[in-house]
Amino acid sequence: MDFGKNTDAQFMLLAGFIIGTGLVITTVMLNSLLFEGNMAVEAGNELSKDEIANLIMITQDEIRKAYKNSTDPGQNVSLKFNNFSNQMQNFSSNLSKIYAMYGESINVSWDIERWKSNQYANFTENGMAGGRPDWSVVEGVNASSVSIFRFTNTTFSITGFRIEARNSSNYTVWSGEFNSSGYKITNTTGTSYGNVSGQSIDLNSTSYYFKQSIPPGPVSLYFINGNNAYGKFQIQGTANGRTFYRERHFIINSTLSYYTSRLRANFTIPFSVPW
Amino acid sequence: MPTSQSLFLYRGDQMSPENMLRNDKAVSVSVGFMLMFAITVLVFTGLIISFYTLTQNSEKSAMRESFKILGEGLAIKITTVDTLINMTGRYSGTINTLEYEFSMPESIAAKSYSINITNSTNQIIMESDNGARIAVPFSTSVNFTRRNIYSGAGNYVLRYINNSIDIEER
Repeated sequence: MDFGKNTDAQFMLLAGFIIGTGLVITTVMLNSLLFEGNMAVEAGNELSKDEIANLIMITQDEIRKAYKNSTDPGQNVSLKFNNFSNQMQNFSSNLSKIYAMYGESINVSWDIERWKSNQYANFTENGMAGGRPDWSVVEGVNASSVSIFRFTNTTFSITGFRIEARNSSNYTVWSGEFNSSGYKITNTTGTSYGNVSGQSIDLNSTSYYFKQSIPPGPVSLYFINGNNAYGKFQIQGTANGRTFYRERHFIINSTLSYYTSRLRANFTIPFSVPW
Repeated sequence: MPTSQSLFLYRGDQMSPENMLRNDKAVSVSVGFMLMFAITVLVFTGLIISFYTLTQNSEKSAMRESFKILGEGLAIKITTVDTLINMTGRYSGTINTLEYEFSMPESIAAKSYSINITNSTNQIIMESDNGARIAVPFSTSVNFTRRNIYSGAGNYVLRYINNSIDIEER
């Protein structure tokens, strides 16, 4: 027997090699199998926060549009509440159908009791008594372009409410302070006092020196201590080259319900109207 | 023949490789079988131990990966609830109800585990007896009630109540 030339065991060597390779492959596959088999991952879509943000924003837009449509000049005043409710009902119904197609349930309801009983909004940022009292109403205003700057049905407390016009250096170039006993205007030309008479205050009138005393250049209008006043305000003009419009009368509370298979949310949001 | 000469004859130049292959002196079938058996047992034992270790490692790795995915998923859910609270706050709204359901597997890789959601370090710590452990950070702007969850109950709910986010069993 020539050991060196004997080829009888070549198949055994080949078989050994195949078995070895097979073992390696099996081990790798088994490893993957065990890994995957042990994974426990919950399937399911994450909630999109934008859905609720959209819901809030479109409800706010619709409430403001419905208020404006029902109170526009030429509309029947006696039907304004009905017209508002009809438009909102239509919106709510359509919205429910749209969201239902995505497996989501929506309900929008509203409360116009404050509007019905003439409870005007505060001059705070959100119009509520507890809202931020000091806030910027509009920035980059060209003071000479302000065509309407008016308060109506306003009530000021003893401690007073203030409006400031600040220039780009945050320097107050004009301010008007209003309280239950009168007003005080401070500007670059001096200080003047007077009594508030009547239900409407037009800050564009000469007695308040708003346009007259503000030098050229943009200003920002700030409400300070807005919690000390409530009523209607209206400002219209040009800011940063574009027309702006700020008007607030009432607060309308809206309750939004949003239900999905996993999320149940119900919240009440006060929307100021018409802006 | 003297013994020393006999040994020389068998161990010396007469013991060529060819002779060694044909030579069946001192070969015992019983000893050969025992040797083969012992070697086979040793090889198989080594293989089984290797596979067992591999299995254990796979379980641990799989648990760690699952913990990561589940922990980050839970952190996202907590953040989502917090975002909704902030969003409502931004509009000066009031939250009447806010519940976000989620479910956790009763076991991972056939092993129980625990979830410790801390409000001191704001971390979701998931760990198991086999040493698999991860910590996922999260952040909330409102208070968060710390909670320990043990695998067993599958469904939970994140609830905003009393100005705080809480996790309750469903």
